[in-house]
Amino acid sequence: MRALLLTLACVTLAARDAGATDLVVGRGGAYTTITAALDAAKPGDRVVVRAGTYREPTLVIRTPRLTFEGEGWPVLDGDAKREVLVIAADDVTVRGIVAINTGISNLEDRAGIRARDVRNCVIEGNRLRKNLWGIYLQRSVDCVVRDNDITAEGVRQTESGNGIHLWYSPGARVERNRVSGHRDGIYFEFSSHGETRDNVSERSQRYGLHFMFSDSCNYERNTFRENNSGVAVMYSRGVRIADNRFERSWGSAAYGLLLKDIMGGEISGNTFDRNSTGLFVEGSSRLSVRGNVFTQNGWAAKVLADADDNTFTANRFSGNAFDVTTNSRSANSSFDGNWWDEYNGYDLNRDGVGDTAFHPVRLFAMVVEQHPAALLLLRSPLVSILDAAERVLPVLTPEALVDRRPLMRPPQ
Amino acid sequence: MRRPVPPRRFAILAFALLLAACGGRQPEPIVLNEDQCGYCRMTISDARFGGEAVLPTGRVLKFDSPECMLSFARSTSAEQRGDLYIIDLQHPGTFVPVATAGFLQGTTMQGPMGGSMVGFASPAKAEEQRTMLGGRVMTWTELLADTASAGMGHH
Repeated sequence: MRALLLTLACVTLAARDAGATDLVVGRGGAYTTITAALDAAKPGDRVVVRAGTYREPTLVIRTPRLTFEGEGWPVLDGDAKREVLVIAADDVTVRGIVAINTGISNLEDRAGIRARDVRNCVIEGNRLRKNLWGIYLQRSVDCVVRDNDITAEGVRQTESGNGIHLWYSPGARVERNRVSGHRDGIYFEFSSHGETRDNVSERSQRYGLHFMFSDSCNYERNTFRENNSGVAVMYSRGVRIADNRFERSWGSAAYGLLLKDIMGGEISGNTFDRNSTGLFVEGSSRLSVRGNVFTQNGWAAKVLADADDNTFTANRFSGNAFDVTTNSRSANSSFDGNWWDEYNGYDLNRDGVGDTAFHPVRLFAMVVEQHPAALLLLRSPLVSILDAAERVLPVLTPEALVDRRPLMRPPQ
Repeated sequence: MRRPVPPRRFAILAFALLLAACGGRQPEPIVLNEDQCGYCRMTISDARFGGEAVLPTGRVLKFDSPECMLSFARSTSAEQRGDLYIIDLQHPGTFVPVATAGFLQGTTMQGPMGGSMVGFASPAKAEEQRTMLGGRVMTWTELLADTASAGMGHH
């Protein structure tokens, strides 16, 4: 019985493969419009679009297992009036196309490439230019978005959507994309169990990466650079953020990484370089912040009093104006075992751990938290004296926010 | 004989009065991609949603979505809330006092906080858009009372 089933399956597969054909659009092909080729395609077929510019009504792929492939970068133009390409069938692959110019709309979220209510789509190696939204996964499960190059240069600032947007799309893999100039470079909303690796997201109008209500996601080896407000991670559980770079987010409301209401997770091996605030933690608990490098930020880490039970260890703090600040005298997170360039204690027993504790919160940081304008006095000698006095005898700074085992050498 | 008020002092006084007059309790324009939501801290980037609270102290709190303003209002006593304004979806950037505004709850729109609530100039305007956007028409008072449906996030 099993053998019979197997044979049947083989025959069916073979039949499908034998029947699969290439439908060629454009120069030398059998079709002049993509719409006609899509209408004629059967499951498992390949539609090959040759170089040229195509202006057709929104293209909708309704055939399962279709491969939709560009040859020589065909340009699919939305004429500033419509979405360009919609995937509306399972197991579809789209690669090698240039989707441009959706135009703007107040009431529709137009995308260059949209996957709508499908499974297992693959969107790879495409170029997206001047679209309101770049790639939009809408209620689509287990899709792959990789090696795409997405930029919104030329779209008006206030009217841009996101580069890669996931909405109720669990199990996605977002890898090796380059995104720039959109509102948010990469946005996960209600999309759990995603993997986001090796992307570069820069010059976003708001966040390089933004995710909300997206549990159990993993973000690693990405670079987020010069994003207007940095990266924001909100209202999620069990996130892992490892080995990323957060660089050069400057501004009063800009953060390398903003964590708000995150329950449980790991922030490890990241570099926070030249941000107004490197890491901002509010209302989050049970986070392990380990082995990160904080360098040349205004504030390396702001940890608000409502964040509790977080562990900072084996991190390296160097060249920051302020290492740690908070908004109250109570401290509910631990900071033992980090390396601080401001620490000038000694290690008589040579065990690599300083013999005196280090208080990373400067008095002046507390003053600035209450009165931002006081920042003008940052380099004043008076402030230095106050800081020194406060370190000897903490009166205003949180006494509990202390590193009892400061490292003598930066962790590797 | 009383001396007349010296012109310079008069000018200062007049200027101070003018400032006081201008400093009335008005909503401020939202600067997109710069201003932060006073409730969720997100940078505000969509002109179609959101609102403002002009607090009794004169300070202005900006919100990125009706949901965030509602959460703020629910967690703040009526005296401390100040005057609340909602953005009119049909005229992004225009503020409407919540008392006269209309809302659609449960539309097909996707707001900044993952919700689907939008504001209009009046309940009548909300009703006009209901056929296209879906949802049901509500007033601010009804929203405040309806703790079950109007929350933020998972729904």
